[in-house]
Amino acid sequence: MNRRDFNRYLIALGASSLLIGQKVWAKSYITFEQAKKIMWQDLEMVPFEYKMNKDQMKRIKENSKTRVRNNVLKGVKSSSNDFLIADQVIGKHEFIDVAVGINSTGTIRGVEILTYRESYGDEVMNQKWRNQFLGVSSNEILELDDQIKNISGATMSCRHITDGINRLTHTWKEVLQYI
Amino acid sequence: MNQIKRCQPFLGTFVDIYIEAETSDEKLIEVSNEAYSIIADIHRKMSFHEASSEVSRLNESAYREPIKVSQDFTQVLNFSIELSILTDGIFDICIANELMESGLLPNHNNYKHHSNRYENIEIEDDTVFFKKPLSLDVGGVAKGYAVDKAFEYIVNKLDSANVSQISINAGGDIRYFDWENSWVYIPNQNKNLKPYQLLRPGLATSSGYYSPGNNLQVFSPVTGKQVEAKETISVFADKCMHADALTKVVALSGGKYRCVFDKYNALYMKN
Repeated sequence: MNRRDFNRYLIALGASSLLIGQKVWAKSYITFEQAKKIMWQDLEMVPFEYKMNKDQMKRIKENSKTRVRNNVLKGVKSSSNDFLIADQVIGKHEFIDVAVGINSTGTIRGVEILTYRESYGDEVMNQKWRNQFLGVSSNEILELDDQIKNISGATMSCRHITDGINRLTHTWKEVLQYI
Repeated sequence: MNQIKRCQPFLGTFVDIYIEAETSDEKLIEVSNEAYSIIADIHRKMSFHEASSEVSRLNESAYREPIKVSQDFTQVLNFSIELSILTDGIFDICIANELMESGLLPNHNNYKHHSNRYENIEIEDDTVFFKKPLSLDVGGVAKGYAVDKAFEYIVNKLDSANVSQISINAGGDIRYFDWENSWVYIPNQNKNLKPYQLLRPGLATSSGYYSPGNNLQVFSPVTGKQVEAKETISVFADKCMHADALTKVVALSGGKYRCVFDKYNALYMKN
């Protein structure tokens, strides 16, 4: 981007901040397929989907002390029961996509953030109002610019990710190891 | 030109690694994997929350007997003490007790914590002894140190002639390879993101975006009081560890200690 384009971009950025609505900043990292390659290399894995029943979800919630939002487990698995799960956790306001690798013994092999989303600015001041829009696809999604790839000064705690990993460890104990 | 962009949870935040270089996919994966291992290792050593970390071992036992620590830990300690001396104790890592009492740090380990200061730390080579009971929390420097170490590893592993960009961002503690042509977003007082050009390879920003009430909260080791600020404080420096620690000096002293900023080739900004 040259200087003129960049200035135009700044003006556009300024103008867009005057619009009423939710602006969600998204940053995409590796894809689910790349995460599979990084964690399991060429190991053959096939897609799977499993629908948990209410009892299973309740037990996972009790044991992990974390809310189970989704009853569908999705990802890929190997013939020897290694898993890569496509999961979502909620950050401060928005969903964050995560790939979590689980070894056949139930230990965590790796965690990769796939897409990070976050809202900034005045539109997030009223959190209660914002919460009703969680994950709603009508939010305006702005990909971080090619030139400006980082945000400084937003030290967000990764506690939600830690809780999500804990939930998946208990999901393995309750469900995945028997699939 | 090939690139990799990854993000993993460490050091209590999100650690983002970006590499753009003339090399293979395999090499980019290998180098970024190793960089994350370095960060994970520092996380284990310096976490206040983990009972087996070096910090926890020191807090528990260094008053009774000298404790041997890793080279990483001595580097962080030596720099922290140097900065404490230069700032008359405005910066001090012996602040875990106050951070817990004010609710900024949880007391997972149920230790009895103490509020004695940095003058009581003795380091000889790789051995640490406390003259009085202390409670260390290196949370104000460890992230910056981890970013620097992982960054320097990547730079050394790749032929710099083939590298066009490397950046590591650990929740706002940032280090760049081609920093002179790089921009970052920094949230202002209204928490809106504004673009800024980097002034040094390292940058750290403290803002209250994720704190209760959205205000920046820093605890003063000198007055024993918590300072709240609406603005965002950013420090640019050659090393991310220096920038990380100096954000606390700005928050607690305003524009004082200019010679300290000169020493670390640092600049600060409030917005």
